[in-house]
Amino acid sequence: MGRRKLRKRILIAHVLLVPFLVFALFPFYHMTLTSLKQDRELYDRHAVPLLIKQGPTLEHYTKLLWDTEFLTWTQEQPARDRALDDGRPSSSAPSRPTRLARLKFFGVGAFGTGIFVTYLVPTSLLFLPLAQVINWLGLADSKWALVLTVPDVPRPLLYLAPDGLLPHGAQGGRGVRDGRRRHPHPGPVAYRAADHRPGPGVRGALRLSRCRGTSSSTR
Amino acid sequence: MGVTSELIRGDIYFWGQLMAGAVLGSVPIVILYVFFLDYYVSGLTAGAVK
Repeated sequence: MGRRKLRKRILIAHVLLVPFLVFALFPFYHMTLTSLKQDRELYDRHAVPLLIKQGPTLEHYTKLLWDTEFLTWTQEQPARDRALDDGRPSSSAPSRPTRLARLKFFGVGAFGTGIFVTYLVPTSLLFLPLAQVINWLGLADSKWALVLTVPDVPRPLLYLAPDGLLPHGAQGGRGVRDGRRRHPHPGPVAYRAADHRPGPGVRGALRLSRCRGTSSSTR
Repeated sequence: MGVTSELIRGDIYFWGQLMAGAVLGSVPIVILYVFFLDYYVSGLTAGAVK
């Protein structure tokens, strides 16, 4: 390939990347720009939203860092994430409506549909009756309110769910069935294997063997 | 969580501080992403078949 042709190819590849770059970087540009604008300009309806016209300021950063508990929140965030992530893999399988439809208990179809429809209701509308329910149960201002409202909190309890209630191969309280094998403690990898159920054919068999290989290596 | 609960009061949004928090929160993720970029690319293309 000639040098000219190669250069043209590289140029075209870079030009084609530009729309993706703009799409990916725009939120960061907008966030940074908004954080550097003065309040006067932020709340001016006639201001240009994508440019700073009245001069940048670091006022928002100083307020955020010194007038709020932002630094404390940032320090606590990793621990909170870790606590939530520990519970998440154990329960990701039955938490979605599509997976719920695969469970076996009585009325599961209607239950799954109900949860699916609930997804369509705006969160703010859901929280008003939920707050009333929590008050009615006498759980306001207690940790149990969190157990009811934050789905990640009760999810680890699904470890205790009996076999047979959960879909075959998805998860189980005392282990995951993976073909003839039985894993005493399913890690996230085992769930990943269950999430991507192989389709028929050679590719499916290959994928299954790869999943089995990785999940058994976690033991 | 703190940012949204403290900097959104009713229907008043403190946009400047909210965005400053978002920028500061995204910086570590961007740095990590840059360092592990090769792993991301190899992971994305691991299952590719020509």
